This record gives sequence, structure tokens and C-alpha cells, in this order.
Amino acid sequence: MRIGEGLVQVSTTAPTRSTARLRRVLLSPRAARITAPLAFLVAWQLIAPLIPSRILPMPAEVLEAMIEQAREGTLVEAFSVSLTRLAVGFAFALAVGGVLGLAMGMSARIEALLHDFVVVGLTFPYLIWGLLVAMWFGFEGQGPVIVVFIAGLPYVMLNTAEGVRDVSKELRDMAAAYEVPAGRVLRHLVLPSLSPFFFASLRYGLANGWKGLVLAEVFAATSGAGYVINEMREYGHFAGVVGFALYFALFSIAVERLVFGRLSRWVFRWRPSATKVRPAETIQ
Amino acid sequence: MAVVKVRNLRKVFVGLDRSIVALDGVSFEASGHAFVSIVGPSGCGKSTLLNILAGIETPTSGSVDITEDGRRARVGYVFQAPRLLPWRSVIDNMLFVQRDRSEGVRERAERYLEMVGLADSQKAYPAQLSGGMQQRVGIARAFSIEPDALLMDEPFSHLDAITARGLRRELYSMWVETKKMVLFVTHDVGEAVELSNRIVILARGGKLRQDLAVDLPFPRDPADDQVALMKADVLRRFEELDLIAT
Amino acid sequence: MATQTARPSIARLLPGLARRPEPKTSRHLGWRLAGYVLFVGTWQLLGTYVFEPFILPAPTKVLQDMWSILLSGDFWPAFFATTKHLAIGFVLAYLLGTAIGIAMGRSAYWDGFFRDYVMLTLTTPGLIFALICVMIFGLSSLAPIVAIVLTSFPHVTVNVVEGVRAVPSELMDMATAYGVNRRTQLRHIVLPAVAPFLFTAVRYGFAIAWKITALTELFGGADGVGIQIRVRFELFKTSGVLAWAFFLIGLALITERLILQRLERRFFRWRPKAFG
Repeated sequence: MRIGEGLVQVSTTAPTRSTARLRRVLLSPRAARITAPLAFLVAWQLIAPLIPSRILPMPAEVLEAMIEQAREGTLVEAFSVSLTRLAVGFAFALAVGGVLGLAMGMSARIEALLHDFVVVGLTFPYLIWGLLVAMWFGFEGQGPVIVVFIAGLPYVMLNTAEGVRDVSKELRDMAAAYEVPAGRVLRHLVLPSLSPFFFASLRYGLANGWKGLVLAEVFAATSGAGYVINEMREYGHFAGVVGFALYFALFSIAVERLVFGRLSRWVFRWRPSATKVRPAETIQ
Repeated sequence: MAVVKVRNLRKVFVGLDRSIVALDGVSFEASGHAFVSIVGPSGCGKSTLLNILAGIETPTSGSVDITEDGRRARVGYVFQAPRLLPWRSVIDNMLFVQRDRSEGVRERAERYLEMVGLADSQKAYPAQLSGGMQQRVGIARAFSIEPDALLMDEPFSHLDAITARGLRRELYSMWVETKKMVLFVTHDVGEAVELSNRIVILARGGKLRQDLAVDLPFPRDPADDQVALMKADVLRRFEELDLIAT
Repeated sequence: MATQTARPSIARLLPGLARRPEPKTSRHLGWRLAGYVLFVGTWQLLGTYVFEPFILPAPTKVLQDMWSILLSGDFWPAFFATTKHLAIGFVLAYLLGTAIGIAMGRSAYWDGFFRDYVMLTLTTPGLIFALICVMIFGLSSLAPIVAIVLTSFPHVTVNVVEGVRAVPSELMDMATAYGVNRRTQLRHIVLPAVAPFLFTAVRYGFAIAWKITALTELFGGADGVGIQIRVRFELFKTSGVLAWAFFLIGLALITERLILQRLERRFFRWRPKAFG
């Protein structure tokens, strides 16, 4: 740094300094996160009048609809029904998927048996499941629950199998050398080692279960978030549709930030904050 | 008194297109308050021998016995890396390997942590400790089960020279105090000469080539002339046996 | 024979844990086939003897339906319509996703700007996009195309961002130190580094695209496979629904395997295999 370099700043006149600072703040990534939704709103406000108003509602109309949905309990009722179905379906997916995933991780034969089903399960369109359960179960609530199960299962299986395979060989050998009883190995070695994978199965299984659920509710239910938003569309409540869609978006953000952020910090509290380089063991 | 008998031990690893002979007819015996170093270049089968002694691997042929008064000996193993459960505290790691969970066991574990100077860190998680400290926990853990014999696989090779030196001294005093047999694998000849009363040399391809007694008086100072001479002698034997790549 | 008085290892008490890395799918072929046979066999039995055809049609019935659909003349127009929607939508999604991905990868500002959009569109159910696009664009081809763009671009973006971040800056610094010009750097360092991610982006983006195409067509398209599925659904023709579903899945699989994987393999012939 050259002598006098720092002094240049001091000699600038006050207004220029603060506008420079303002520009810096506005152009920062933090500001960008706020600018983005604002830009979206502005664009929406400008484009909507260009399309016949009945089709793309104005932001103000949508806001009104959203307030109404909140006030009349439509929102809470629809989401609680859906979330209950999600919980039930996913609980089954965890139970069955956990056992199957464990088996897959432990036996290459079972892995061979089930691998392709997992792949199919991952890629099969939820639309078809939704239609099928509608034809099989009509409008009772089981259809959507079953779709949650089907959608979440492959993710649970995949991640559990991966977790079992991932249990450190070094630690297993250590436990073997010390003749640690199997129960203790399971409790203190295998299960804690599985927790990041369990977490992944929760995250992906629930996310996909949710997607399958709301779609299935359109065809195979008379309540729930998916059913409600489709109903509104069929009755032409377009502002309501967009409003409800925004509630879906807000729900995603809330879950992502609050639930998974907090949860992952608690689960991994023993991890070192900086990645430490562990010496790899040489093979002799 | 612990007794180790290795007879004609052979271990072959079979791969997809080739097989590797890790140990080729190794035989030796040791007993009592011995400190035996198993020395050799990389790939000579030293760790494999230790793994078979610990029961982690099975021999292809030949036999291996570690006994204490006729019954199977209990063995403590210290690995190159500390191999601590990262999600459990230091004291829980110690308790994980104990035979039972009765009253005095926790106190005993704490006592061994004290011996390596880590009694204050018992509630810490491994990630909060330095590499040297983690390895000391590993050593304390091995001693704390009060085994009949100790197996150590290059326990100091990943530590810096200063920490390793301190740990060697600690290991020596623990060996003297507990009077257990120690089987110590290393590629560092100086370390072997400093610590052991017997050196077994393994060559590449898993053959036992030499079995030397180290008669220097204990405790040994690594800077001592006698120790240096012994080290030079062993290294010369390596060269004679064509064990060092020129 | 080995005699050993050493302890039985835990590795043998829990045998499965003794094995390790990725199981090769070529082994245990017998078990793999057994899985298929079991599945199709059970389905055939249930469909023929246990359930009515409008509940669970047997696989043979579904195949029959597929054949008659092919012969009927319904197939090709629907197939072409869906392919058209998919092609246009996906190309647009890919271009948009790549542009945004590059911007996000290189500039912290744009990363902050687009980050929430990407996350939202990734986690919001496709149903929402399908309904809104149908609502706005009505019975036209625009509905599925826009829906594809909106749902598919974030998958492309996420992978492109990773690709941009993977460009080894040390190599670029080295090249600059040797006086290598910008263009050559781009061609020999940046492109090979980003290319695999560009392909992954295609794969993930496409996987979403074909599903949303069918979904949007079902709700409000004028033509396409989605409409055909809906018609069968409303007539409670389970077999027809499954028949068209298999056509759809078949189309997706063929595209993925024959076209995309082939392209990828040709481009990446030089890469060393992971387990060699």
C-alpha cells in the first residue's frame, strides 16, 4: 500500500462518500434477495393488465384472496388435512423403507433384487399413481396417503442402504478387535453413523411425498391442499388459485428454513466446523 | 503371562485378476513382558499380521495363538488413526470397548485417561482434540481394558516428531508399569530400537527374515550413542537383505 | 487348514457389514431377474384371477391395449404433440437454466437474486405450475411449454452452478501465468470442467420435463399423451390409462437411454472408470 493511498478516501466530499456506500449496499447479494421479489411484484403489476384481468389477477386481488383464505380457515384446514396424510404415509414409508434399505445395504443379493424397483419408483410419474389410487379407492382419504408411501419409499430405501454401506470399515474393525458386543455396535456405531442418511431420507422422501400427495388429492380426495386449489380453478376463482399457490411457496420456504436448517444443526452438532484433514490409513 | 505363537502363517489376498501374498510362512514366538517390534518396508504384511492376531482377518493357512494362562488372551489394539467414534465423547469412547459396564469400570477408564494426561478432556468430542490427543485416547483405551497383550500398528506415524517423541515416552512408562506384552508394528527403525527388546524383520512378500534381540538397558534415550549404533546396525541388515530399494 | 484361537469378529456376526463399496449390478443377475419375474408374475395372477379388469388389468391386457392404440391412429398425433411440447419446452428451459446458472455461479449478486426463485420452483409441487399455466394459457400448446420451462429450469440451474464452481481456478491461474489467451483457456479448461455438469443438467431437467408435460396436457392441453390419459381416466378405463402411461414412460426411457446416454458416452470416452 502506497503512502497516501488511504488518505485519498478522507479527502472526498461527504455526499459522494455516502452515495458510494449506498450503491455498495444496493448491489450487495443481501440486497439482491430483497430486490428479487420486489422486481417480481413490479413485473407482475405491469404485465397483468396486458392480459384480460380474469385470467391473470392483479397482485392486489390476490392479496385480498389470501387474506380471505387465512381468515376463513380454508388455508389452515386444507394444509392440516394434507399434512396429516403426509405424516401417516411417510411414517409407513420410513418403517418399510428403513427395513428394506437395511437389508439392501447388508446383502448384495437383496440389493440386486430390489435395485431396479427403487429406480422405477424414483422415476415413475406421480400423475399415474394419483389416477390409479383414484380408480382404486375413490374419494376416501387412503388414496393420497398411499401415494405418499409410494413416492417416499424409494428415497428412504436408497438413503438407508447407502447409510448402511457407508459405516466406516475402520471403526467396524476397531469394534471387532475389541470384541464389542453386537448390540453396542448397533447402538453406538451403526445407528449414529446412519443419522445423516436418515436425515437425507427424511428430506427427500418428504419433499417428494408432498408433491405426490397434492397431486393425488386432485383426483382421489375431497379435501386437502391439492383438492382445494384445483376446486378453485374449476370454479374460476383465479385470484384464489394464485393466492393459494403463494401459500404453497411460503410453506416451502418456511419448512426449508425453520425445520431442516434447525434440525440439521442439532443432528450434526458433533461435527468439526472446519473440515479437518484426517490421515488416511496406509494399506499394508 | 501372555504367550504368542505364530506357526507357518500364510495369508493370500485374492483379487479379480491377481493374488497378493501378504504373509509367507511366518513363524515366531514371544512371551511375558516383551516389547516386540515388527519392522519392514511398506507392503511386507506387518499390518496383516497384526490384524490376524487381533482376529480381524483370518489366515489362509498356518496358525496363530495368543494365550494367557491357557485361555485365549484379551488384546488391546491401537491403530494408525485413532479410530474414535466421532459422535461420542472421549469417556464414552473408552466405555464403548469395555467388557462390562459394572461399577468400577468408569473409574478405571478415567484412571487411564489420567495416565495419558487427558482426564480433563473426558467430556470432549474427538473433533475438539488434536491428532496427538486423539491418539493418546486411543492408547489409553487400549490399556484401559487391561488386556493381556497390546497390538500397535504404527501408532505414531501420523504425528509430528515432537508429539510422537512425547508419546513414545508415555508408552514406555505404561509398558513398564503394566508389564504387558506389546507387539509393535513400525517402519521406523529408530523407533523400534528405542522402544523394544526384540526386533522382527519382515521382508516384502511377507517373509520373516531376521529376529534380533535388543539388549540395551532401559530407559533409552534416542540421542544415545548405543541406540544410534544399534539403529545403524539394523539398517545395514536391511540393506544386506536387499530390503531397501536402492 | 487354518486353526485359530482368536476371537470371532463382529464383522462376521453382522455379515452384511463386512462387505463394502458400490455393489456391481452385474452380479447376482439371478436375483435381479427373480425380482422382475416375481413382480410381473404376481401382477399377472392378480389381474387375471383376483381383480376386475377395470381395477387391476393384467399385463397382457395392457399390452393388448397398447397394440390396439398403435393400430387405431390415436397414437401418432398424440405422440407428436407431446414430443413437440417437450422439445420446445425443454430447450427453452435448458437455455434459461444455463444462463441463470452461469450468472449465479459467477456473481454473488445474481446468486442472491435468483436463489430464492430457484429454491421455490424446486420445492413447489408441479401440480401448482400445471394448474396456473392452464389457467393463464387455456387450451393451447403454450400451457405445457411454459410449465416445462418453469419447473425444469431450476434443475438445470442447480447443476450448471455446480459446474461453474467446479472450474479449477488454479489451472486458469497457471494458464494466465504462462500467457495462454482467454479463448484457449475457455476451450481447454473451462469447457471440459463444466461439460459433465451440463450433461447432468440435461438429465435432471429432462426427468422433470416429461412428467410435467403429461400433467399439464391432462389438465388443459388440446392434444398430447396427457389428454389421452385423461379421456381413459374419465371413462374409467384403467387398462387404457396404464397403456398410455407405458407409452409415455417408454418415450422418456428411449430418449434418455438412446439419445442422452449415447451422447454423454461419446463425449466422455476419455474419462477413467471409477472402479476399474
